[in-house]
Amino acid sequence: MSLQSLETDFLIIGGGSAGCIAAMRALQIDPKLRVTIFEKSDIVYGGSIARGMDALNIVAIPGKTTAALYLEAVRAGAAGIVDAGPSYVMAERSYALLKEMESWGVTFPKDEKGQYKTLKYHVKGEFQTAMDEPELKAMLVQRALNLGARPVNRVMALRLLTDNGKVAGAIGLNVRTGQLVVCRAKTVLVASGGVSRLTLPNSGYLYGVYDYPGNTGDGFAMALRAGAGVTGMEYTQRTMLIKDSNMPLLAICVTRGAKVLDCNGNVIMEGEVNNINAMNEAFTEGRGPVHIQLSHLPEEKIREIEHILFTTERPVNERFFGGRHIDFRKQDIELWPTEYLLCGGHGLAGIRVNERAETAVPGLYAAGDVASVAKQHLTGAFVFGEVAAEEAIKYMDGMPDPVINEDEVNAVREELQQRFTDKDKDIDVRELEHKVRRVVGDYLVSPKNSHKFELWKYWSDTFRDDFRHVAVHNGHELSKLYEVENILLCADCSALAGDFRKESRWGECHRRSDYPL
Amino acid sequence: MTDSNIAINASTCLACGNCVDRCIMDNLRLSLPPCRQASPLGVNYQGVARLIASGKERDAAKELRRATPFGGVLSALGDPAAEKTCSRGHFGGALRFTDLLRYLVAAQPDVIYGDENAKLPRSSKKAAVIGAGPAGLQAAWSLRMGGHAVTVFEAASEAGLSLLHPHAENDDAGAPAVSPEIMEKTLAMLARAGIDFVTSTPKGQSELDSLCGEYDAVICACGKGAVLPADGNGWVKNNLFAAGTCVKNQKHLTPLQAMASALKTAHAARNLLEGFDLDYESDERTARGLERFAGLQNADAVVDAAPVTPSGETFATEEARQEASRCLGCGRPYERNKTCWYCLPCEVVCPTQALHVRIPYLIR
Repeated sequence: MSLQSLETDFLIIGGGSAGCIAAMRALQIDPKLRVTIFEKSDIVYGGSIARGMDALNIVAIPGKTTAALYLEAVRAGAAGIVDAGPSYVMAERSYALLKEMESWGVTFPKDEKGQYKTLKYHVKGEFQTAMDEPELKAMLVQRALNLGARPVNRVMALRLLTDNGKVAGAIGLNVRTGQLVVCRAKTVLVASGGVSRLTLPNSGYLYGVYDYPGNTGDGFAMALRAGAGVTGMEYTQRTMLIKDSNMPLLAICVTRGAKVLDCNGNVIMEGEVNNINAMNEAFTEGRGPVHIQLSHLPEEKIREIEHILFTTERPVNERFFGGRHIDFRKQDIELWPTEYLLCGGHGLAGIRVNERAETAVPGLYAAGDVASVAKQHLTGAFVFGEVAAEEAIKYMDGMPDPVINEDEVNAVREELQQRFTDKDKDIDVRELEHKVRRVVGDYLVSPKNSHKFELWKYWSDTFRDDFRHVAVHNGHELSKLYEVENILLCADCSALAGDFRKESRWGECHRRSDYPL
Repeated sequence: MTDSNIAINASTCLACGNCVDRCIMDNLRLSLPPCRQASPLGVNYQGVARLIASGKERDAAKELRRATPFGGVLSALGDPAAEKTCSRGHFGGALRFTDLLRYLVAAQPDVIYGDENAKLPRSSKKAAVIGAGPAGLQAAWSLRMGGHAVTVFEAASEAGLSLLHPHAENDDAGAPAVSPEIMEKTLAMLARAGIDFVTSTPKGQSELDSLCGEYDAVICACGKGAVLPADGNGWVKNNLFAAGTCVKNQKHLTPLQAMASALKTAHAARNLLEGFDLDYESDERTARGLERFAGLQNADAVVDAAPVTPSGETFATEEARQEASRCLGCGRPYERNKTCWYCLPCEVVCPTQALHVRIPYLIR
């Protein structure tokens, strides 16, 4: 199989929110820079925001809130365990980000007094700022492309390449052709999202997950193999969302006055999204399922919620509720636990970065859900995308072209050749994924204990053996096999970290039955 | 396919492939209509015809423009390869694509010859094209769409002469000529897109080396006068490429085939300018999820209908719409990988709302 090769200065892995804004920022600073984006899907709608977003969850608006207050808020929400530097930088730059986005034409609604509409999402301070931009992603991409960023669509990064301990590029896999793409680059930004396909969703449908299912921990796996550190991998989180569809609505409804009730009609959340654990408890104690009640809200509020849910958030919501004959004015919305995920955007898992978006490998940066900036949401992806671009440009100033290590390339190539066949192989990659994710759900999520972690070791080894027996018929299936391998590696990290962390913390995210609170 | 999460309205689907391009889960593939598969410039006649049939001439012209800026030239040359494969051929006679193109060019000149809407990417690279015949013009356009600065050198006193006077160069007396009006409008559009034309400036083979030194990429498309040994990507050596009839063993191309050759060569030259291996995504079909025509569905139900003959020089509006409505709609997307996230970008980009996403049964 022939290799494809290309050269660039700044390689961005993942064309989502963080990746696109990094490309924009880099080309604003240096218009002559060669900026290349590997995108596993298609860049126009690829990534977690896919189309639009209803709010920037963290904006410290001068005169209203501060970065210091945000730090208190995020600490309170993470049992005090937060790497303060990156979180502080994010909050500090958040207002400038909002202003920049306004200059692109993004709408941030204001109230009668001309103030930005904010909502209470954290324990302290109103940091969530309403935004109404159903085509945010396409807008972002267009700006990056106009500035000269070169997208390489349908290419999933497999490995980072290094040259004397410094980053030298990456190898990608074209998910349609199964061809390898070797990219030499002076700096690399990993912005490839978290792991949304860690366990199975209740529906049993492999892709029926809450977060964008293209995110399979490719970045965690690559960074780890290249020698960068990952952290917070025991933070296996889930949330409570619409039963079966797993589509988000909690913050949208609760911040607008909806109540969350248990099966006895007791209110467990109202006014702010402050107590996911209370919902988890209701389930574990048998007071589930919980419901969101909207029927007490005035018609205009319900319409506002419908507008956001049916346009900006996930337009398919309308079809889903229509199919189930649910009218928010009359019926409650049933919430169930989602699958588990690892994600720096909502949780604490991710590649360890400092306030300059640097990882432990020189020349390698990380931003967005793949980076551990505690519960950073979209704000963090944007701010750290920009930070990474600024730092990457400083780093590569006067730097010679790196050298590609042919041995690294050949090793990947040989492995690919062994995998890209169906001769004498009998495992379907979808079944492998189903089983891996089922077993992760059995052993690596709360309640966790040492015995489960021991059992996991057997399965982890077994799955690795199974990889050799997976029948691969085309490039798409080959990419799925690599995705499952990344999910498995992330699960291994989670098992190691979870076993090492001999205490319970963060509620359901890391609850050990052998070390209860 | 009843278990598919994607329902396609076969009577309105344009087979444009937008949904396949935009699917973020690599779930979809397009079964190409045979006309588009055979068309050297990849014109999606299914889309064009169906838009004309529904009275949306402007959108039809845009669909044509999306495949090629040379709609005027194409309407003069005709697209026999596409007509030959039309499934209607077995049911009363192939669609009259050429007459439909002529109708469309006459009806929508401001789209066909209009300014390019897409904002070009920024580039600091510059390329030279030698020859302003069909291959040269096509190569210049493709390079320019990559954002690169393009200069076309033409030996004659004006560009496009070989298209205006095909008999002078071709012995084939039947070769169709492009009218001066079409050529003038086409060249004006290319110039507005930022392509520089330098006429009365012959560039012989001896000057290639100095041009290659001056420009980041050079495409020679000077016609039969030269013989350049090029590989399958049109690559000759270093940053020199060749397209059309100046390529060795490629003397007998029709103008359309020469343009197709230039498309391939310009793709490789863009790869060079943009840092990629020359053959990166040279197989456009695989790269874009386009698959060979899977065969006509419900062929038994198709009723024979003869083509509509234009009463005048070109189709009258009603005639054109009637002829276009004979399109059987052979091409359509389908769900290949079962990875739907029901996120709906595919629906958003579908121009005719022909695609409907169903929520997977496990979730419904």
